[in-house]
Amino acid sequence: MTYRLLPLMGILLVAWLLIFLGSFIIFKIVAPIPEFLPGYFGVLITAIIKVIISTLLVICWILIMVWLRDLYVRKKFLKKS
Amino acid sequence: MLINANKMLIIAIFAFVITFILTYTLTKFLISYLKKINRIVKDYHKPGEVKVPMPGGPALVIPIIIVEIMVYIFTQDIRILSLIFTIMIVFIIGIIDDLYILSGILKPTLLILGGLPIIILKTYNPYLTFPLFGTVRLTIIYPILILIAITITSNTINSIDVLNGAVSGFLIIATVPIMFALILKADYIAITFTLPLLASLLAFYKYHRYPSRIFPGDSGSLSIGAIYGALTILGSVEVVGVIALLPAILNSFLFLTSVKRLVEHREIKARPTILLEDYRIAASKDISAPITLIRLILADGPLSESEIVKEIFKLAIFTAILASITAYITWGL
Repeated sequence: MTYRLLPLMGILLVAWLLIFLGSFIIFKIVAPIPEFLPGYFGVLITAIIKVIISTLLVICWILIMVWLRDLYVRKKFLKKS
Repeated sequence: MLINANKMLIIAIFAFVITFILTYTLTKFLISYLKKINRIVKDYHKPGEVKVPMPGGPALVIPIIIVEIMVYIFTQDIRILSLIFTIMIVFIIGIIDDLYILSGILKPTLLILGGLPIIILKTYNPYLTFPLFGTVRLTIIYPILILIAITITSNTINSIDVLNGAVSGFLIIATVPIMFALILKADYIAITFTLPLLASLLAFYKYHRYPSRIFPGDSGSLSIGAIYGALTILGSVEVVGVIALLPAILNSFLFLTSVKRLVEHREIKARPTILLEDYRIAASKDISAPITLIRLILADGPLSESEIVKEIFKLAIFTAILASITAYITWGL
């Protein structure tokens, strides 16, 4: 196994784990949240909150991946230059 | 139509063998034909003026369409019909892209059309199955995800088509966990309509591997990406498919987050890699150059083209193992 691939495999492993963690939070914790208020507005507000939380989680996933990318680039490229 | 296990096995073997022979023969023919009509492009990573015929997409895709039609006649499974229409739509877009070069925004927009047959024929299952925590229902959002998925898989696979044999070899490896998941699910018809992709890729790889004698072009890489995406949807093995494709997804992610816009790769001025005098490839030190998977692989020093492809295959094998573990936890335990 080439040593140069280990950090990239680490990034892929994190991406794999985050897919499950993110999906678990979205589908098993956020999605089943009951309506806060009765009636149409209750359903609407709850749905909006669920969408916002899910979007924030996706943004978190992207930010973690960008952070890992920057960490790799800083370590490999900037160290050499 | 109900088919017994023995008949299904015969159809599966027939689908694999016929596709392999057709692609192998057609690729050989296409190499001489494209040379004759002067549809050749420079292979930038080789010394001298090495010219390679392109596009090899028709040799890769037409046999799959023919065999899928035959499999549909035998099985009458409507999922195959939507797969055939998806392949045709994306293949036409790919051919147009090979001939006229579509813009970085127009290409993904047109590729959205590729998901329509699956939605119109309602051949999807809006339940996503995850390991450990089970199935989730996505009735409303799933059709939208189909449109996005076909675009993403086509473009993502297209984005790794930069070195000899990379895209065909990568997709051969990524198709293995899909087959494994379908075996665990005992979806034998889905296995049968997945085999033509694997057979076609194996036959094409013979000519596409280093040193390439043909390039697939956008008609080839976009189509096989779309077929892969459609197969994961039609076989309901989407999560496994995404994981097997992670190195290619990471490549697209790195590119998009560094370039920060949808752009055709030919429009990029600063190249992510540079060609050295000894024809090895090195990572560019230009900070404005896009970050790609290959640039990160080369961060530790230059490599030859065939060595880089081997490194990509190692990453593909790694994620194929992760995808197979996912499939086993989901359907095998």
